[in-house]
Amino acid sequence: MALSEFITAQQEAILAECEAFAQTLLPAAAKMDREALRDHAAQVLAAIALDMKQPQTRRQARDKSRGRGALAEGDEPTAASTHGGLRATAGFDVNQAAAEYRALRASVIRLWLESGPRLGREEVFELVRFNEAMDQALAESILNFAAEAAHMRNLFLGVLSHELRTPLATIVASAHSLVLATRLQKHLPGAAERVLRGGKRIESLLNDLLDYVRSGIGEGMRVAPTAVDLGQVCDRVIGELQALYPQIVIEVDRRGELAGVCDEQRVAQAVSNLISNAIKYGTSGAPVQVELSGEEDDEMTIRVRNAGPAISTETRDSLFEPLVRGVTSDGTGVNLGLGLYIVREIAQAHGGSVDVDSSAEHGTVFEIRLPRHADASEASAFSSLRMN
Amino acid sequence: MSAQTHVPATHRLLVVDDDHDCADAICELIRMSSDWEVEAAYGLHDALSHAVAHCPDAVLLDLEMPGGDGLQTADCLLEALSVRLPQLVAVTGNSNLQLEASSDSRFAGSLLKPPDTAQLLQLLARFAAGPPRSPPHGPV
Repeated sequence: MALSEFITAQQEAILAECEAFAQTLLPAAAKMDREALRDHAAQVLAAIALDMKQPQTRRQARDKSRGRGALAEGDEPTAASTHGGLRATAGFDVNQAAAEYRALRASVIRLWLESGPRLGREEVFELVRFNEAMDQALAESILNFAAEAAHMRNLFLGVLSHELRTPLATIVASAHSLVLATRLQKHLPGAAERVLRGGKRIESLLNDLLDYVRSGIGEGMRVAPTAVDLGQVCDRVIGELQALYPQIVIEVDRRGELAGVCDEQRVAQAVSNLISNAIKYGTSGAPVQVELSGEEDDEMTIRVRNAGPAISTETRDSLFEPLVRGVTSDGTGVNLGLGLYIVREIAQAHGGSVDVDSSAEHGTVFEIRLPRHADASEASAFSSLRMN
Repeated sequence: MSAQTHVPATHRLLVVDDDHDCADAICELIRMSSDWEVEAAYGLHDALSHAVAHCPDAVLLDLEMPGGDGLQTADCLLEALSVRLPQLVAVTGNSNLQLEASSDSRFAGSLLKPPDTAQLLQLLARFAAGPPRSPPHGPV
């Protein structure tokens, strides 16, 4: 059977294999609509099969192999192009988006060869046509992927500038007051403290941003583990947060041996992010429970629990993706949507993991599992790119 | 005639921002640089009850607060104070919202955070000099 006809006839088998592969691209794929995913793969496949049946000039072939052709006529976005945009919004990285085409190509060729075609000049020629069309689809997909990613980046920059402007307004107004007060030889301790808090807030936003940018360009998060007591690390974090939120009760429960090897600052940052989230997103005024457990020989866990409405399953899948902002219990968006992403990066950089469980009955629990003895890590972003 | 009628009426400003530090900082600055009487409110609910009780002449309004977007908030305030409408000034960290508010008849001014002090004081001076805002300059 000619390859183009084989693709049309065996579409279901090819798609099933690709779908199974796409599902391994977790966690981004988890929130993808399975049908949307399959639909677009089917359309891409159909467009490729159709293209292969058209006669083509040498010039068209060359353009296509260089990503300058087009699989569809007219202004309608091609299936491949739509596919790329969807992957970007679903939180795929570029490698994952491209990997689907690798899978599509591999599935088609493998299944076709298994069907035992006669391998003559015609078939080789068809295989070349198929690869050209695949490359064209890939180019279209990546182009739109990049455009969509740029759009999301712009939205993010808008949010970032907004988040920076409020503490900046605090600092500028307070500094003005301090200048006036100096002339009048008055003391304004409140203004000085606000300047300090505003500065700290901007610093922490920029630190989060730096972590995000570094992980995005593949440097990942580096950790420098030293011997620490997890209990002491958490006590310090809780002390700091308790000063910021004196009205919130933070309960701590310790079990087992909490001495281990980890990056003290990074683990403190992760715990701080989780407890701050519990305060912001949990039932207003309800206590936050922190459970530290070192009962296993090779592992320590940190659980942070808050009362509040259950997080829906769809939201749960995307919580750890960057730039996802939840709704706080007082309704304000008070962060860049990087807090949980950074928690995950920290956990993974230690060779650990983070997970969430949420129900209306038991509230929301985030759990970080850390190996008791973490190694100095390579970039975690590389490990998150690893293909199955 | 009692002496009271000759004392110029103090102008009252309400600063509304869910970020306490930001609201407090702007309040303190205006207190120090003008003779306006200034109070802070940290949310929509707080702002409404305060406004009804004290009938401010002007309200500096953060446009992104819990419980409603900025324009809804403006409507709520104007509705609650329909007897004596305050001058509304939008103060926001969101440049798109600031642009929107600048062409919205509900707002007498719109400022991007951090608000320019001189511009803010000029606005207040203009409000203080002008006649009280008369209804019905309400929602479109």
